[in-house]
Amino acid sequence: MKVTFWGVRGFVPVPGRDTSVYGGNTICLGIKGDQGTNLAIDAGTGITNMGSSLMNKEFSRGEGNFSMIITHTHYDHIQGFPFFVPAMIKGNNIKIYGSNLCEKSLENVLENHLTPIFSPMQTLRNFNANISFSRLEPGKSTKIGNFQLEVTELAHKVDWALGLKLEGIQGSLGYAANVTYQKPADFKKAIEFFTGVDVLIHDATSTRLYDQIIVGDHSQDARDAVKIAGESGVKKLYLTHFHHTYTDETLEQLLELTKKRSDEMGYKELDLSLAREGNSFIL
Amino acid sequence: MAIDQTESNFEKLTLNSRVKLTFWGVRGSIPVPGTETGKYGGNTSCVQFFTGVNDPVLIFDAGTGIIKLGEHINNNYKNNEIHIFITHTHWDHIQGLPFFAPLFNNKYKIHFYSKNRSSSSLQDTIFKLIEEPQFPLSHQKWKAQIFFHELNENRLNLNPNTTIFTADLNHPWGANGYRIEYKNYTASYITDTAPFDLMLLGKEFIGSPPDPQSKLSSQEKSALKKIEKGVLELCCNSDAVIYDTMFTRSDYITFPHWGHSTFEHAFGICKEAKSRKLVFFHHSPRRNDHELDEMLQKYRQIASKSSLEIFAAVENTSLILDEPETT
Repeated sequence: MKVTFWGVRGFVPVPGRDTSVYGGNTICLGIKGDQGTNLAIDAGTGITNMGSSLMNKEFSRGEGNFSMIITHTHYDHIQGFPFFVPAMIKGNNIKIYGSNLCEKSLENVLENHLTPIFSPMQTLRNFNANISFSRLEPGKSTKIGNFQLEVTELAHKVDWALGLKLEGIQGSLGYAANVTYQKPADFKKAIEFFTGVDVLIHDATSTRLYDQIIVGDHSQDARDAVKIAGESGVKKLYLTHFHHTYTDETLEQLLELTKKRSDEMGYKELDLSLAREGNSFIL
Repeated sequence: MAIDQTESNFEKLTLNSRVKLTFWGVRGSIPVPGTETGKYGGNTSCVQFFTGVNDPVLIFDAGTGIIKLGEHINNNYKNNEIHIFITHTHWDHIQGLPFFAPLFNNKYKIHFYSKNRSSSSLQDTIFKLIEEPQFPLSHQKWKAQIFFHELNENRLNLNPNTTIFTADLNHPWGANGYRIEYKNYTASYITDTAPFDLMLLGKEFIGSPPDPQSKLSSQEKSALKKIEKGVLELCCNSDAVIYDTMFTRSDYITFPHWGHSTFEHAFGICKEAKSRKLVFFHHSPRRNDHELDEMLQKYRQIASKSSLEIFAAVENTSLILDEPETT
């Protein structure tokens, strides 16, 4: 499987010269299976570039199949969707996987995002592709192309966000882009879930107080990500969902501080990198 | 950042007391981070009419550009009064608001303005914007004093030095333009609008371009004429008109129903309104720096015989307005 970072920001896109190295688009991870499965995890603004990259293939002819997993419905995880060009082309099939939060279905949340007050698209029905929804349930495995997907509910503010495991032929990927561990049980649950994955992509921001995170109340290193990766026995950790106030320079410092913290915590074997927009790796 | 608008009208961010328009966000539709937009900028719409750090802050639209402006206000400004004028509540004009730092500071008084709409109040829309499950910090976390103003009149006397005028634009669902008169200075902010040959205002969704053969009803014709008259009044003798030029002529022919305008149209309006400067704005997210450079060059050439000066909005720069006595 080929994994591409199309967007690595949390909260809000940050254009500008001081974010041009690691990128300013909100969160989106692209996955391409060996047998052509196309999949995105989260639909921040990064998904617009992913959409454009698909348009010289079957998607431009209206013959594409695409799966999208939304791990939770804050704006930074959905705001690229209305600009995902394959969804405009008749004949393409877009299957959106997610879960229900705050008693509102994912479909409701997207509809609300598109009302005429907020968007000239008005409703999902105005996208020409066939758009369908599928609900993910913790403890139940879902097959997407050649992948097996498993999800869990991770602690996140008052609600929760999905953490997921994607298993392919050559290995498995863990993903937890937005998580606020409050109590020991939250850590324990995530560690149990991610034990055994080859690569973990994890939220770089560590805080107990999500309300304050937007105004900058969070630790300067990614200690929570390191703890989860270290305790799960993961060898390779990518940090992502960077705070919008972080410049390229701050991110380099974040990496240094986190490496130091990881050594102090005894995870000397852990291979640690920052997710960088446009970069890919093969699993 | 190099400023190669060549004229001395533009400057980098400074706090001198000249009257100017500062561009914090210049894009339409969606923010476009990346190296290809580094020069003109990738943040969505936000413009400030700056008169001095001791004066109330005047802001037009709250796209992602407003985030940096918020920090700038917190760090540098002496006046605690902020006025935010919203053209309409499509995402690219409000999406920076939840991250606007002065909202979380109790020393500020923040006023929001928009044209009154019977279907939805501005307060409801903005509060709905920041509700779970879409956003974690509701308005209850705001510390500033907040006031909402729905404009019923086309004229607002903001303070003894400042008058704001507003008029409808031709955009799906709706949008309104603004004219700012401060002492003897005048500027106009016209985004988002299509030219006036197809009625878009008030329509919630327009799926495909209308049949070019279909004729406008007399009702539509007079409604469009009325919108055009309103826009001309907002731009009349203006020092600087910031205008939606998201489209090239061929874009407009393909997407006449999207509610955006072209250089040719903006030029025509500014000529007729006898405006002095036209500033391209609401740049298409698909247009990179190189293409915008080319567009600017091309249209400057076309306008070279006219007295109208042509500029393109560049993020983090200001267009200095001429002192009226010297013009």
